[in-house]
Amino acid sequence: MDRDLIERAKHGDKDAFTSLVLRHGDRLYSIAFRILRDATPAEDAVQQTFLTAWRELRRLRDDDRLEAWLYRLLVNACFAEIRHTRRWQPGLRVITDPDIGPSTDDTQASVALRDELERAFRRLSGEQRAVLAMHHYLGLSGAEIAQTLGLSPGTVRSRLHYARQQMRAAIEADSRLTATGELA
Amino acid sequence: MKRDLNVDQVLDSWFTEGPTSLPDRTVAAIAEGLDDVHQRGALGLPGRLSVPRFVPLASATVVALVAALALGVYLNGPGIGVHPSPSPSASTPGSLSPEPTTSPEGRGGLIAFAADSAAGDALTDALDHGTAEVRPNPMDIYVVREGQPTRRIIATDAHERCPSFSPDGTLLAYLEIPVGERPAPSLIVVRVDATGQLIGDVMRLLLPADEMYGAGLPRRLSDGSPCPKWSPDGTRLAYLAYPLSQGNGSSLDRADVRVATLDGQETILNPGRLANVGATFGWSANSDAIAFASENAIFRAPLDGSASTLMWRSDGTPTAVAWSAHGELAITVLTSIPTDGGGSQDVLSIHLVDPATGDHRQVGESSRAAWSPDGSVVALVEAGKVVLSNRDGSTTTLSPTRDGVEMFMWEVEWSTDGERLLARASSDLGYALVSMATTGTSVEVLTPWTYAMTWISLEDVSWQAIDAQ
Repeated sequence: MDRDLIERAKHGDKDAFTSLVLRHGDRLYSIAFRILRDATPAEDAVQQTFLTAWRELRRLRDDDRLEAWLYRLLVNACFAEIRHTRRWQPGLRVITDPDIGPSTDDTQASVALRDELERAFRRLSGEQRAVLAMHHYLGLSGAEIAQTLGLSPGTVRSRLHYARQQMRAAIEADSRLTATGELA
Repeated sequence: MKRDLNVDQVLDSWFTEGPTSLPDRTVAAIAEGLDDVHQRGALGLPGRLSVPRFVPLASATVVALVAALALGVYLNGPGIGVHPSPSPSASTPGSLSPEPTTSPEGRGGLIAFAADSAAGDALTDALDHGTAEVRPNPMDIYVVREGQPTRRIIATDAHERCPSFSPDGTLLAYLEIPVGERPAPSLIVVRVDATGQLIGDVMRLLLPADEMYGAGLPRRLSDGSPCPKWSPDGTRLAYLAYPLSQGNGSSLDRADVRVATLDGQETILNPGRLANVGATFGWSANSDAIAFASENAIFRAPLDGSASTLMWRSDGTPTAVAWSAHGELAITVLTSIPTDGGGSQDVLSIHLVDPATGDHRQVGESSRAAWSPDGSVVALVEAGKVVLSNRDGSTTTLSPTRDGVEMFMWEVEWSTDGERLLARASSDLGYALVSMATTGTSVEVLTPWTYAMTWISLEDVSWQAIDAQ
């Protein structure tokens, strides 16, 4: 189905391309949000990704690689978002969007853990965030991530290792806080 | 969420949280944008991203503007549904040369900038976009002069960022940020001649790692800090640094304004009041104080270490401040505006404030404003065009072109003599640094067009005084 849509889109069929947006948009947005941790820049990144894809679609030689190609464009867009955000964002903040906020049965401790995870994740580089999200959310292996992003498997393993170390430290820090009663 | 120290389980669970559906408004914006984006190769036209922002708009002008940083999206001002695409000045679409404009003799002062090594490679051998951006390599420092090719002058295994020429052009300050798990930036000053040649010893204003990582959190300069700035008299460098332990990590939200002399003596300027992290700051013309953003206000921090005083209070969050030779402030303010859907839209706007009289006026929506050296004009970029706003309220909009093709401008800065403007621009071929006369004419493309330059910001660019040495 994608192939037909892609071919039509390559010939300027906007309806076909919009169908591709509807088909892949949710997935890309989910990933963008998990890399950026904020809905608005995630929307911007996805918009930017699809408009670039539209512009460059004729360069896609293997139609079966559309999804991987979109992932790569998306990660680039997310990197740009992160880079800019680090420049002007006055500080870290805890996500409060009702769509993504804590569920009603959350304990105080789990909220604190989320906070720690958010803080730790935001301190990661864009590259580390991307591999972490692709591994834990998409379930891709290191080799698959490497192929998607055009990186060496060693680079992906290294980034994944460091990112997980940082996140582990956050989880353990939260655990220590809880154990010493600082959240009570 | 399970409280389980198994990292995989915790992360798997954490990543499942969050939205999974692309909002309809984004789909609509994409569909609408297709009309303004030419497919590369179609009809022989160059591909150019020129799209409307989200309809009633989820994102702020600046958020969306910067969101589009990597790939060049054209945006509109708030309240306007669709802007026309910038039209080429020539009736027939032109085409830009991928190479910079050169002349045998070169002109003006050196321009130093930081770029990663992928960008560096692309300066001589353009990379496909989609390749360079996903391989951020250590950043190095390059110099270019109008009419001459780019040269790399500082390259180590560390990131070098924030090159900044001293006011007399004889010294170059920059940050050296080691690549690793705990990057501890050093502020370095080197002597440099008019060709970019480094002379003599390196002055390393060391920032002790033990203070920086007292509790596993950055305490001093950070790789996310705004770039240090020279005092106008060239005797000091100011920078933001995270304060020593504040307990639970909240120190990441606020920073000290500090000043270092060239012999390494450091002073904290804002006792009792912390600056907004990431917000740029400005020196007074006579080097006796710094204006910085704290919470929703701008404060004046005297160099003598006495208490900071309020200069201006904003309805939003100031993210940048520049102080003119006349004592006026150009302040970038981030404001969240509620939208009909219950969300909010962030907008960055530029406000000119005279602290002496209290006069205030908003001059546009942009992420950054730059005063001319004589303080008579403030330059900013709106919707891809350079806007010069004079003190009398009049404005001039520049739409510089090169080879008949209009370029989209992202940020603008002045040469030290106020005769030229430097901008980061994008075109169908990628991004480049360009310079121009203050009339928008005499446009020079200083670096090859490449998407590897996507990430460069004018915070990482500095123009040497033309009469240096």
